[in-house]
Amino acid sequence: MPTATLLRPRAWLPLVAGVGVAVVLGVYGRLHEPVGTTDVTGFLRLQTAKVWLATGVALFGMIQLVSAVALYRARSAPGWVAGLHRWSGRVALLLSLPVAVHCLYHFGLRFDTPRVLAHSLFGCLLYGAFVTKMLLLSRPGRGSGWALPVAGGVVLTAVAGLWLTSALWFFTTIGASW
Amino acid sequence: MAGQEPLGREYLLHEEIGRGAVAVVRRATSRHGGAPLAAKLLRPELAGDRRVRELFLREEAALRALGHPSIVRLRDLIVEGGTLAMVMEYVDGPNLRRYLSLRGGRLTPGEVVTVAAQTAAALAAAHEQGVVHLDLKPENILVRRGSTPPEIRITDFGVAVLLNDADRGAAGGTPGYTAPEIFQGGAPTPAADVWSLGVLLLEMTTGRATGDPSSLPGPLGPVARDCLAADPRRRPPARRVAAYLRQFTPGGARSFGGTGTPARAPMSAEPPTPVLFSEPPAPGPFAQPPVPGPFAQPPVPISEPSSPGPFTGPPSPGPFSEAPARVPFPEPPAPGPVHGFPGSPPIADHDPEPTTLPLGFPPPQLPPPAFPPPAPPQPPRAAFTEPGPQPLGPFTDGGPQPQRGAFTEPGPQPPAAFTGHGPQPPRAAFVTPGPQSGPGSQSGPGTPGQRDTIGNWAGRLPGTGPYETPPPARPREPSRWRRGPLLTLAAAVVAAAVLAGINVTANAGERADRLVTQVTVPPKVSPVEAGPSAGPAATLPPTTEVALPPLNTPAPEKLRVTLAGKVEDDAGTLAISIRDGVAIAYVCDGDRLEAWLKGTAQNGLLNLTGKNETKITGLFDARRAAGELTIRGATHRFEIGVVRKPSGLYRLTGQVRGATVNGGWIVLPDGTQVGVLSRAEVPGPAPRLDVATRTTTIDGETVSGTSVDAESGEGF
Repeated sequence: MPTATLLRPRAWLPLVAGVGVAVVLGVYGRLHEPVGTTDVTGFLRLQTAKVWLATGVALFGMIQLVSAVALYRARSAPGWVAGLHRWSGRVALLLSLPVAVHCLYHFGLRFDTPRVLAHSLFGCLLYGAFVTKMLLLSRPGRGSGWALPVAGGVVLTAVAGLWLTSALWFFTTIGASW
Repeated sequence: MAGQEPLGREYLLHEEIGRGAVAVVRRATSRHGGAPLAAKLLRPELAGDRRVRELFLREEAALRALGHPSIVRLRDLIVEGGTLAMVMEYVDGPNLRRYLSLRGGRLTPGEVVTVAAQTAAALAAAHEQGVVHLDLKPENILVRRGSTPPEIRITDFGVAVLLNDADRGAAGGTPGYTAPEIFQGGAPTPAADVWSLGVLLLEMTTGRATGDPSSLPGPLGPVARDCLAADPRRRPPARRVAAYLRQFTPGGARSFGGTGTPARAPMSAEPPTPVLFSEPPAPGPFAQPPVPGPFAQPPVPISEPSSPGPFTGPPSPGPFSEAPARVPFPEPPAPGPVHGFPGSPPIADHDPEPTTLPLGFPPPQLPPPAFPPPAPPQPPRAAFTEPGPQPLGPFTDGGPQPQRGAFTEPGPQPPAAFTGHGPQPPRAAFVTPGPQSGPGSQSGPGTPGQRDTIGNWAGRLPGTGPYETPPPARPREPSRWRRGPLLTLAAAVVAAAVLAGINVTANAGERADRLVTQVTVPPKVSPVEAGPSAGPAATLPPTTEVALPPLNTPAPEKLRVTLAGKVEDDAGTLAISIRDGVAIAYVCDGDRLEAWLKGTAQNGLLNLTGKNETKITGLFDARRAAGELTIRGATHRFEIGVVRKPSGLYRLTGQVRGATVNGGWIVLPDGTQVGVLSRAEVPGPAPRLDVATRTTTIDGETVSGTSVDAESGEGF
């Protein structure tokens, strides 16, 4: 007997789209010739700003985690929690974009060191998982079962990995200010 | 137990108010107060099933989103340990099963229409959201206490389909109410709910869940018959049923004249004609089946407005002689919603498909029922009854009927849909209108031999086109994509594009400025050749394990600078000389520890490697560099600044008394020197280097070295 659900649209589209975005970003990062700079001082100031932006993204990521847990665990979470989750995610995305665009355009995908390799891969993973999560949220159908928490978990993992391999490294090796 | 048990963090459970096959219903309250609630706790064997829990969680949003005045609202879903509870609005009143029993087993046609119209409207709203009920039956319809006409709330939306999906089979439908295709493994479609609605119509009217739907009085016959079409594709959508029935609800465009006693058609001067449940009279001139009752459609050919109705026999009440064909293509229903009952959403507003009766024909007339009138409304007792297992076989009658009226079947006619496949069995007589005169209308609703359905009649309205059989039933209607996340994605793409544009623009300016290089110009110091060991042997030893530059090699950077300083943790002294993207570094502790590294310094990033996994990563600019140095398995932070000649980095390679010597020095701005000299691969503290002459004395011999000069390229 065919199984019956309220709605079960195809589930592969968000996943395929997310993988596609991640791969495209990675391929672009390899093919694109990184752009050098001679204004090294300005460049490093920019790097400093980027790590602070990344830190902001990580903080909003923590808000995302807490609010998501509240939504999933405590079914009676107040309504503003969902709004907090959405808007913290949007702000985090907004903060991350300048960092990501600059990294991709000026550095590309590199594997000089394990840290750089991990950072590059986490960057591709983040936006691929984000696209998957958004499509899971928006696809026809109510709820996404385990897929949505998994996508959110991957996004958060990528954010954490990105922060550890960039901002934390920067703060501990370079310093909080340049 | 009436004690207050907690449910989640927000709710308290109180006494049990219902119990069924799949759940126990308890009264509940919120800790924050508010309206009373009912909590439906799934039985442990279901609640503990991971698949069931996942399904409910997955579909929670859909169930919560079901907002309709006639749907019991799901307020919360609690998944806690082995508990799966649905917290929903509490409806003070009996379920329809009990309400029927209180009323002697059936309702007046007016009440039936009222209840059915609300039910259909609720189903339509749910179907619009892509949710099907799949277990619509009197037990799942609650009648609000004291409401006249009865106001209903449908509960358990989605529960059956979810449990069915989990292959539990616990509540996959109730024999007698669930559409036959469901039992035959068909997909749960909205049409299945429409079938159940047809059964409800039948039961509420006659007291039995089986019988000939065409024999129902007034407007109920055709709609029940359409709802109970064996082929789900032939059943009208719920919204059309709702729009159709709403006309006959109190306040609707057409009314029974109240819910107490059936109204007579206002234009009929003839006494109401009883419904004929026996064999109908002889067919009319159109060879159509006889008219079962006053609800029969106007038979007058539309092309002949003056032609009287061919049916003058007893079954035809007044309407047939009243302006039957006055409007060949009558006006569509009056614009604007027609609210048949409080809170009814104007579903018909968006329904381009007209219903059967607003065709300009006289309003139907309800005959007095042939069965005893139902008992007067009684104050119902509050109940929230869980649907229980039906003690029925799948194709048997509808179970314990509370009472059977004087309704007589025309014959052994099982519900057609129970036959599942095959053609629709013949139904009771029903007269369709006369042939349509318009061009291309050979197969209009009045075509002999064609069943009249709501859809058929709808097809005759101008501008609506013929009623088309809906496409093969699909499991569920896809709802639209939610826009919020897509808009977020689109905004992200736009923002990324803008940022990329900014970067490209800035880089274009950067490329133009690249001609202006930032160069440090250390004072030129000419090496002083001294000592016999100087000479060709003074060439630099190769630095092994040089890191290759990254594959993405950017344009060379015209930065030439030497930086030097102490490494933290007293790990030594470090000097890095950078020339056009290439970096050479030397680290030593002035005793035995030393390492040469080579790599890149590009885009502000340092990346150097040397022997024994010595590594430098960090950032640099024209003034300083910072990062971390990994040497002998330990990592140390460093931050060093620019030094100018004669400070900087020096190295020496030569032969002293037959032994190979390699030395390195870092000269800091304060004049201190740190160096290590290896003799025959044995490192040790280096003697002092005369930076002016770049010579040092080893075992009495003067040996000259070289500088690693970023400006001149010496040593690179």
